[in-house]
Amino acid sequence: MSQIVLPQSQISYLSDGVSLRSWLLTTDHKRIAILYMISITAFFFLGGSAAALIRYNLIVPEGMIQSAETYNRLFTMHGIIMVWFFLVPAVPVTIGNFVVPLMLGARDLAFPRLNLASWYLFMAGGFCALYALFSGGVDTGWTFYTPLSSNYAQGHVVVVVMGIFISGFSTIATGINFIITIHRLRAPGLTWYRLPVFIWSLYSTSIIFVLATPVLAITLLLLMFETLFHVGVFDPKLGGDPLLFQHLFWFYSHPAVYIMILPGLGVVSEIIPVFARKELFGYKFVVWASVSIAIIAFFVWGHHMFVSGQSLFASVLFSMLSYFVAVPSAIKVFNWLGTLHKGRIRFDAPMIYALGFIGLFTMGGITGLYLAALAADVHLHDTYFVIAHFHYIMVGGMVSAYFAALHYWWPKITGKMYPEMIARAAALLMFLGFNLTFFPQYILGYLGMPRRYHAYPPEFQVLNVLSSAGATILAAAYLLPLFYLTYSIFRGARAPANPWGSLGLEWQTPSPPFTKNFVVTPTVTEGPYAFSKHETFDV
Amino acid sequence: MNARHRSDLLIWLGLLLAAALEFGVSFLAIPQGVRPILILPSIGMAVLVALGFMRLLTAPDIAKSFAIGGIFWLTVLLGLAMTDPMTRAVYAVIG
Amino acid sequence: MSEEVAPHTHFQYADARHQAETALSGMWLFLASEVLFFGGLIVAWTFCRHWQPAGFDAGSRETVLWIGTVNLFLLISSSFVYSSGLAFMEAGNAKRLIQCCVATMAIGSLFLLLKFYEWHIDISEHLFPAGPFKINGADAGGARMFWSFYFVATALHAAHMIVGVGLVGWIALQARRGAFADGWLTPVEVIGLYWSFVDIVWIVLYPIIYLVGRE
Ligand code: HEM
Ligand SMILES: [Cu+2]
Repeated sequence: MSQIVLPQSQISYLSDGVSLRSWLLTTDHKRIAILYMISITAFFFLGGSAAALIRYNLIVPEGMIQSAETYNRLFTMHGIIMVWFFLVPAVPVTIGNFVVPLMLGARDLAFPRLNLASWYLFMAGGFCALYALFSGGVDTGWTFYTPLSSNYAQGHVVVVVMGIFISGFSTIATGINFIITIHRLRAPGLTWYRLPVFIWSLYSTSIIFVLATPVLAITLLLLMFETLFHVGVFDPKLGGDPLLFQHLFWFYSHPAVYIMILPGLGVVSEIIPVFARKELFGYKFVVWASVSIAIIAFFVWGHHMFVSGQSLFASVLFSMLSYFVAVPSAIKVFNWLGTLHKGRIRFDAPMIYALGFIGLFTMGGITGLYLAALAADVHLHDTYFVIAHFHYIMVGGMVSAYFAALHYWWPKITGKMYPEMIARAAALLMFLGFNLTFFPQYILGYLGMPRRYHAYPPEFQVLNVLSSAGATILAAAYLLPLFYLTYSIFRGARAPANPWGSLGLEWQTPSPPFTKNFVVTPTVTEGPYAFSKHETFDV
Repeated sequence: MNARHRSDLLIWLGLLLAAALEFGVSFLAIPQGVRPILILPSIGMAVLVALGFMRLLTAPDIAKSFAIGGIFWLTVLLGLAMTDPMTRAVYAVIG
Repeated sequence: MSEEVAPHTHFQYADARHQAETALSGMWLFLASEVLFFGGLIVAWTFCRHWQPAGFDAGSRETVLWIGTVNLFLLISSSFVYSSGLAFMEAGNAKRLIQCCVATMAIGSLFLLLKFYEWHIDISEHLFPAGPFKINGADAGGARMFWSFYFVATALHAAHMIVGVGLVGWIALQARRGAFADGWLTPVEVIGLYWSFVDIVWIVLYPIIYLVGRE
């Protein structure tokens, strides 16, 4: 890339226009990231409230909320909001939007207007979903299994499905934007193997965005068609095949669970080397692990359907293929451990979150293997074991990674430092609360407590009460950052350009960055983790 | 009339021919199970359009890889999804 | 918003060629996404036909073959016309490009008109899968499945066509304003990719809707 020096004055992106209009019509990737951040924070606490009510209900065996109908609507609302309106856009779209161009030494994404359009699509979808959820709700679960969702459900299935359909196009647009940007807008000297791992993991995530989401879109469209006209595409009574729905749904949704972890793996791979002051161990293995996870993710969806009545041959095939995903996942864990080994480790808040991530992700991943074993899954399917499995990855892993990323890049985003001590406390509290909430659920599931019921046999009460108690701690740990991070925007100490002594390009421009990111496009001469060459960088 | 026009014209003629062929062959008495082969001329036509009108061969390299990627993922979807109905044991419902 | 630092170069690009190739690649990636979008429909087709081949094919035999076939030839030709327009523009002939765009839009609109007419026939023959249905007996279930597939697929394709006609019209307007006079043809190429892709979709839908089920 040749270098065009911009005539722009060097002002921070935050002070480049303060009107509401300058925010709502911005095409600056950093401002769009802030828009996303505000929206998903709202969704997170909304989905969290539903979770709180679920845990409240399960304190007593007969259910504190006496109505199964209400309970069904609660967990459906929780799942839909958390998956599509918080976790899918959390790290990739929000944090990714902010840091991708900065990490590449680019001035913006390839298609800035498309980027803004993505946010509007996301919000439009979000409002559809909210409207449906508040005007009576949906009782199908986030998976919308047919024919329950099409010809039996009561509630606003079509509206909520419409919302997810629309927001799907928002993620497709973002995926296209990221892939193209990463291919086309790298700074001079920034070769593929000098890219930060976070970029590689977002690239892999974007592959899933672009190639899996359209299949969800068509599935939801067929579902709406079936619901609106009462015809059978999926409904067996009308001649359809309900497993067709499940195949199409999981063709998207299994890869989508990797949308909800790959970016987190990337974040952790950024943070560990910085706070261990060591080069990332086995860089090439880590990046190719990301890519292969994204690809293998498309081959395993049938492991969600072992007891659905799909063919035994398909089950065996999918079970075998599922084991392969664990290989690249494990490679990553071992590489982080290798990086930590003999490092000079600092326990700042992002690092505490990242270390917590490693443990929780490992637990979740290993239990995934139990579930992928055909025989074991017949017992464990649709029990709390599954709930614990995916919460260990999605909440213990990905939500921790989101908070790690938020703290790590907070100085860059806002130009302010967050209060370190209370942040560390919050990180520890989160780890504690999380385990207390979800570990009992492994046991509950193993003992046979099914998911999605509002009442349960009395012998399960102790573990359920433990879990609900953990949930209150977890809630407190999630609320803390809301307060102290907001506080730091107004009262925090000014952040230097590079508070952590990182080597990435995003730290070589002021905090907060200029509107156009870099005055002169940087030239890159080495990889992003060459700490051995930079002893003086120590802070 | 430059080279571009000439090649476009040839592609068009090829497409018309393939379409006519597909249409004509469909009137032959082909057994029901084999009739999906009528899709083959269409696949040929799709390739012609991609290489001809969409100029895939002279497109940037990453565009080529996206095209190949799209087709590859389509085969994964079709191939793995069909393993199930092809091998499923359907038990009769009694009553 | 469109801050150009040089002709046809937004501030994040090095030069016009850099930006052009980026735009083309972006469209190709979008089309890859579209392949999977329609791919889901094809899975639905194979599944449904697999379970109820007789009924499914019985449904297919009720389609209006001549309209589908005429439409196939129309769309193939429209892609050819548009592509010729691009070739003319490459030789600097904007007037021809405009004519080709208008012709493309005309053919596209004719396609849509025929499609609407075909839907009209289908519905008046009670082939819409909901409500009273033309085919009864053992084949009814499979036939309804076929017609569900038919309506979703053709409606989606028609929606893509409507967008396409609009986009080609936009190119014609741009060409009239002289936007491509300096050899900057990227928008013409990008829209052409989209148009040809929609053409490909019909090429693939044609046999599976109209031909495979006939006997
Ligand atoms: C190490 C690789 C993994 C394997 C082998 C694996 C395996 C499985 C299996 C077999 C199931 C089905 C259990 C059942 O329903 O009976 C399952 C469910 C689930 N997994 Fe995983 N998993 C892995 C990683 C992940 C990741 C990374 C995530 C998310 C970030 C995730 C999220 C989920 C979710 C959401 C469900 C339940 C969906 C539902 O039915 O509502 N898994 N997993
Ligand atoms: Cu899965």
